[in-house]
Amino acid sequence: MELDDLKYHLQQQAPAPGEQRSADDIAALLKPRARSVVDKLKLSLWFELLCSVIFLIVAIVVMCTAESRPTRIYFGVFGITSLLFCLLLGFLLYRVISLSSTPLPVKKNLETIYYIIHHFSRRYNQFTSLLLPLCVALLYGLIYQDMVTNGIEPISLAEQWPLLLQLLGYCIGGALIIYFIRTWYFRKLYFNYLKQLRECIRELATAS
Amino acid sequence: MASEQAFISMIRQHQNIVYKVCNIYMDNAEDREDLFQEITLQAWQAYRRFRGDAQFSTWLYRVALNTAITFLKKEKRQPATISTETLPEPVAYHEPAIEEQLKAMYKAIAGLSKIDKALVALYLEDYSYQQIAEVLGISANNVAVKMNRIKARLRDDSKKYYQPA
Repeated sequence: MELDDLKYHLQQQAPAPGEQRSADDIAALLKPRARSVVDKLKLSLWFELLCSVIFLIVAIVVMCTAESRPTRIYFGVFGITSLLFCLLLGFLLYRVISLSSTPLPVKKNLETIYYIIHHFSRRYNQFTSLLLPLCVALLYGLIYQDMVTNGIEPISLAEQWPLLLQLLGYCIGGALIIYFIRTWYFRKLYFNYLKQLRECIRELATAS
Repeated sequence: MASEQAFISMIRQHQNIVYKVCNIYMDNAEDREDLFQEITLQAWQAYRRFRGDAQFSTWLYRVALNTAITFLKKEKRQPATISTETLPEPVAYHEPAIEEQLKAMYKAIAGLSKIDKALVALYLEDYSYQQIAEVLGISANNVAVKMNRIKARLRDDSKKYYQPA
């Protein structure tokens, strides 16, 4: 049998009366629930954005109220970082919301979803990679300032190398742990899906 | 509310499109039901931006195919298998041989990739290559090449599944 024979048979066939849904049935289906990857991505972005906004508020409050100058600097820097992350998340969320409200041609739709997930994971990687050295550097500065404030004679830079090595060790160890957790998280959430998307885009792009 | 009523009315009129896409993409009743809900929901979310530039049926096909291709099945499901339970009920013909051939063709379609299924769904709906190209966002030439390949593959595969009594 050929596909055209099936097409002919289907055209002869009257619409199946068995599976018709009433208006009430359809109305009941309009309640949102996250099952598509776009909805899951939207939820994920909302959650990240909420956490970042909460952290930003806390950072601003601490920055404005803390008596210790190093603490104010510490939270000020993280507040700015958090604000940048909020802006990025807001942009990605806007793209995802636009995507679900405008049905694009299939190929464009797949490419856009792929771009958003890819972009999200890259920026997430960059953000978490930036946080650790920033955190360690600020911690070092904080300890140093605290010593100065409390009248403790800071040791010379030449004598600090064991401490610096220790901090570097923590930094590398922490970075490795974060890297593996982050990679596992994204592989679990999106890796297979991205692979499928790539395959569909490739299939649409090739003329065979 | 008026918008919701209008949408429900449109979906009721065109629900066969959603059923066809669900049948071609999902291999059991539970998944088909989930996909039906997801397509309806996605169409509702996009409906506010529907300006009537395209026919509602073409617009709905676009939403339905976008949703079906990117839909996440529930984890518990096993990999897609070809089963007759999943397929649209063939018309009851008096000639059993034709019914068997139709079933074989449906099985062959079930074995296609997601993109090829989208092409078949639109082709069976009697869309021109140009219309299919617009829904998928590729060139009409590309559609023609793909359709030739799909037809040849379905011809061979349906022969494999068809065992005359």
